[in-house]
Amino acid sequence: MKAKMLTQIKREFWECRSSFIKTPLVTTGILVVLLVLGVAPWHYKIAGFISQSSVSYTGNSNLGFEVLEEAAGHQSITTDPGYLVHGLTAVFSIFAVILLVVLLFYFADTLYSDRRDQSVLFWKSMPVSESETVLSKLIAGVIGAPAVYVGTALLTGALFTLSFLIYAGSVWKIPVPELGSVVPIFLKCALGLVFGWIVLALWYLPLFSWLLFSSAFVRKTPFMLALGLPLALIVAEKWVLHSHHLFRVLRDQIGSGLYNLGVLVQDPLTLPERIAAALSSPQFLLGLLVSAVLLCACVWLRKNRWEI
Amino acid sequence: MQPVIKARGLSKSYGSKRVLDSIDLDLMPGRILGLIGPNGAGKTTLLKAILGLAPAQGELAVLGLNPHTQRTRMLQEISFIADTAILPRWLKVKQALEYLEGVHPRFDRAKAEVFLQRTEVKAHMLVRQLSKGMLTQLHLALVMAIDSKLLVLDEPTLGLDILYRKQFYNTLLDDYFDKDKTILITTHQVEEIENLLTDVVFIRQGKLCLNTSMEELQDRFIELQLTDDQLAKVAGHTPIHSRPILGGKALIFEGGDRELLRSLGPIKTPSLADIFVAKMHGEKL
Repeated sequence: MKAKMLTQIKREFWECRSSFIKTPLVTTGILVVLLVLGVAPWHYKIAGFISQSSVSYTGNSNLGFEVLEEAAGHQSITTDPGYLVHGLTAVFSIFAVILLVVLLFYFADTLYSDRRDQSVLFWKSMPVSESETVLSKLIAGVIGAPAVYVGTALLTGALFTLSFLIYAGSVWKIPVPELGSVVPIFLKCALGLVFGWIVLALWYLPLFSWLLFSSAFVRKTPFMLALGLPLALIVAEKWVLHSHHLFRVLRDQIGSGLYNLGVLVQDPLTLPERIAAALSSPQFLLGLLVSAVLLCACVWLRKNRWEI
Repeated sequence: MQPVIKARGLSKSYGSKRVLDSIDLDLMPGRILGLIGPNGAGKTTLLKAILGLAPAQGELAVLGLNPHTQRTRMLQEISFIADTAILPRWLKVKQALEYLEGVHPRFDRAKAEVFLQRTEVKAHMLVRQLSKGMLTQLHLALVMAIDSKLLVLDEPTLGLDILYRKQFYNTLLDDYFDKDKTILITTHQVEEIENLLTDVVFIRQGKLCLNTSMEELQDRFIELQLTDDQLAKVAGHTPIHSRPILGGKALIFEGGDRELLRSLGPIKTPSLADIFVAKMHGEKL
């Protein structure tokens, strides 16, 4: 059973090799090249600019530029770990955004692609139940692909940290944070990335399930259903009831996922708090219920409407 | 002995169109059954029902299991190749082997590899790089390495040249088939499987119009060849089909008196293809 599920997940990686493996590796490559070209210090200046302006940007439009100039003059690059956190957050955010885009396309296509290329009968000739098929695709998307992205994000983050230390020490000749203080910061950010993804995935489970359902339901172009139906319902609600409830629900659901990711990447120790907040949210719990119904519908469709 | 496939009153309709109409069928272990019928006769629908891919009304048991509700368990002992069951183009040959090894408890990877070594199919190749013939060899290697009790082949050699078609059936008989295995084949190329079959079923407009063993078939159908001036001799004997031959006609009789017909002219056992045509178009005489 376990071996079968692992093989099923492996199958997803064979099929989605480009988006699950090549894309994060290429992203790592590009970011490393940018680092080598000296973009890292620039990121640092921006990070310093953001961190200070976010607390002091109170109407004086020149203040941000002053902070930037100060950063450019190397005066603000200190042993303050906040700079490292901002840098790592920026790197991790790039991977998180790419992963989200990849997963949107993956889930919207995965139960449709085998019907499109007519390989569905081959897969159905194997002793694999439809529940196992749907579950393996969900696991591949929610755990498998993110594991690769987290791995490559951490690798990139480590290279980023290392390059900063070398650059700051050798080029700018300024005191750099000691390894003893950098490693805990890095580990904290790494943990934040993992925890952030877990909570985001839970908030996004209804979205992923809806995309899976769309891919199992349609004859062609799953995105037409995946995007079209919610948009049509939002417009219909506005015209008929003059309200925006559905739009708000969707916005809150998507916003909550991203908010939790942002909070946890910077402070992973708030995980219990974030999970408690989610579990006390009726919208979150309703989302899990909707996900379960949609996933069951996917299994039913695979079993009974494979020929469409 | 329990039949591998047992169907009673199997029916299915799409809207008002009845595609399977009260099918009764028994397929015993160790037999090779040819399911033959024109396009739209219901062959694929019957196969889908047997493979648990589409539900049908009536009683149906495959290896004693309900194909629709116990499909996953049933597929551990059944394998099938359908012309429409295309291997995905992104899959590598070695991945196909690894996949089956991972999900199929009765798949023997070493056996599949030995078979593939005799072909041009290499482990690193992608499915999209394979010719139609190589693709069929790969698919055949995969299913032959499964120790299944029932193998279902739906137009397995469609689009292949004669060399690949011959090789396909030879391999099936030499390397796969034994008394514990049962094969169900549908094909339009009747003449190529004629010598392979132990049983044959003709399906027409959702109904079985012939369901017999090949031995019985030879006793049941007689072809009488007469010149045009001899045709008057058969007045009173109604053939199910006639076709023109050089200088006369070949008349096919079902269940006729063999000695009587022999007294009228030269007789022989008609080919399966001729019997098929006779059964499909007989009523038009």
